[in-house]
Amino acid sequence: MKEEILEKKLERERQKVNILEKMIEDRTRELYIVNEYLQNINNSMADTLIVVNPDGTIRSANRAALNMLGYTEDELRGKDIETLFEKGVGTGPSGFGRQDSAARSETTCVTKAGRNIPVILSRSTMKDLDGAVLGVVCLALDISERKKTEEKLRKAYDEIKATQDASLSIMEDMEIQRKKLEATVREKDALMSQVERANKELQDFAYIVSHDLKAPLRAIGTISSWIAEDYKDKLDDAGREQLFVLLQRTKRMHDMIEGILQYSRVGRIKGTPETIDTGKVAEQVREALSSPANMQIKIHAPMPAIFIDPVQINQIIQNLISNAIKYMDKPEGLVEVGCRDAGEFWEFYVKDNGPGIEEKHFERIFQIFQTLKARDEFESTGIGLTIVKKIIEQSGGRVWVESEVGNGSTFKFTIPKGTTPPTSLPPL
Amino acid sequence: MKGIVFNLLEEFITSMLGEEKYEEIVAGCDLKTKEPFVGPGTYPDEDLFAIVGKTVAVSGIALPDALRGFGRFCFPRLAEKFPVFVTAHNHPKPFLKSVETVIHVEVKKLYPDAVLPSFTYDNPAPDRLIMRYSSKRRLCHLMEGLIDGVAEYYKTPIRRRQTKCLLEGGNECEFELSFG
Ligand code: HEM
Repeated sequence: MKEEILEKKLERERQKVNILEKMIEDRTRELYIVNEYLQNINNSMADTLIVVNPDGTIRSANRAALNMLGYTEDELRGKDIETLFEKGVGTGPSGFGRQDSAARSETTCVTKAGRNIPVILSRSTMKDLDGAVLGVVCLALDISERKKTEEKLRKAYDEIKATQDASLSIMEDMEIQRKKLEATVREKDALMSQVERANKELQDFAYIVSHDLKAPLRAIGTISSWIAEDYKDKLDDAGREQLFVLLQRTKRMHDMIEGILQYSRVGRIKGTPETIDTGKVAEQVREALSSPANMQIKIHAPMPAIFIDPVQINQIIQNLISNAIKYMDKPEGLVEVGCRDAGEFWEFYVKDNGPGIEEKHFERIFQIFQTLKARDEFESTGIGLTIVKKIIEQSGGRVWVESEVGNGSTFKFTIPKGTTPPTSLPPL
Repeated sequence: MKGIVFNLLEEFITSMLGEEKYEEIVAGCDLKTKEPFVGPGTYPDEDLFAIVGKTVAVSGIALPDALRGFGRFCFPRLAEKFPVFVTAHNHPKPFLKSVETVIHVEVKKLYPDAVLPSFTYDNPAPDRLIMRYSSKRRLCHLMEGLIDGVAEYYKTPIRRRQTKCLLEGGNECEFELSFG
């Protein structure tokens, strides 16, 4: 009986040993698999993982860490972690005590080859269940690429900033210029209205004076002609001669006043502009001026229709043609009138084969009361061209002369094509 | 329940009733477990209760006394197996307080599938300790035996008074312990 039990017990112990052996094997395999699994995770991680002992020496490093640092695991094991990172990891007794949980910082790690790599270092203390420190787990994230991108971004930002600053200062300059311009424009406006006022005053003055002068002048003329009539027998030749000069001068005076009146009328009285066929105007002028038989006036078609005060265009053409006739010195006089398209303007011309004008007089002839010949030699008030110039300039055009002494002159003037010339303000 | 407890029970019964009786008890139990119990193994609680029940029936010892006796038998052997837990203290009071927070925690690491009781404590006076036990297994008598084992181990008498009991409808067992 006893032996039987012993036998049974022995058999049971043998079985127990077998069970335990199997348990150990199972557990060992399990451990191996778990370890392999952890190892796999460790080495497939893109981030570098370094495990540090409580004394600051490296216990293990994953593949990413070895790749980044350029060491083999054997070289790294036991090395002081603090020598790998520029700012240190903060291990060692005081470090562990202070930062017991997790910390992150930006630092640089030094590879075996001595290269510096910027990293973000996360460190967390590894503890057992009782809180005893087992080591530090360090995760170093390579941020070289990020740094490069940051640098690029910073440069781009700086460039944008510089451009922005530059455009700001340009804008400031522009603002200053604009203000200056505004001030200038204001000054000009003020000046213009001053000039306009002065012009107006002058015109009014000219008109009033001329008008007032006309009556006494007429009286002088009338009385002089009476004297010439009534006292022609009592006067000697010299007296009669002087009286004739007096009458002639009175007439000239009258013509000049008439001229001033006309001239001032150009600014004062504004006719209603209409669409006028300039060819027809030239025809009418030709007919109205009973020109001598040796004078030929040619009108070259086509002549355009323009929008202008009919009285004024008539005045221009008539003045220019009659001047050409008046000064003609050739036995076969020829005056030609025509027009060409000059883009925004019509450019008219009145060409003659008369005496021509010296270049130095090109400006002077348009000034008031300027004649090139002595008045006694050639009766003219010299106001016709002044009036022409005034009308044309008020219409927004220009007048000038081209000439060669002995070969005649060509007066040219432009009138803007715009349907509404600047002078065409509605009548008051 | 872990195999270690089954093995301690075998040792306890054998020491009390002899090997023959133990074989007899086990043979008459119709256990779910057919192979022998090994320390790291885990076996149904019913098997443990079946063996205890049969032992009580065969020996005529009352169940509470049997469990107390078993607890008292276990403690020095557990202490011998895991000396760090007992040598860390030189008085039963701090030792008992470490059962919940340290010992059974470490046991769980060794035996992840262990199902351990839970304890709460109160500290009414320096020489006293209130220890409350709760477990589905309702083994307060085993606990009493273990406490007696502790007192013996530390050579410090522990008077215990049970004020609540799971077996009497309480939601926990409460022991008022006084030392010395
Ligand atoms: C060195 C000291 C100790 C060790 C190693 C230890 C270990 C264990 C183990 C392994 C179990 C089995 C759990 C299972 O199989 O599921 C257990 C159960 C138990 N232990 Fe402990 N123990 C110790 C001390 C104590 C003390 C001092 C007490 C009470 C004062 C205690 C009370 C209990 C109780 C009552 C159970 C039964 C399980 C239950 O009630 O659910 N133990 N212990």
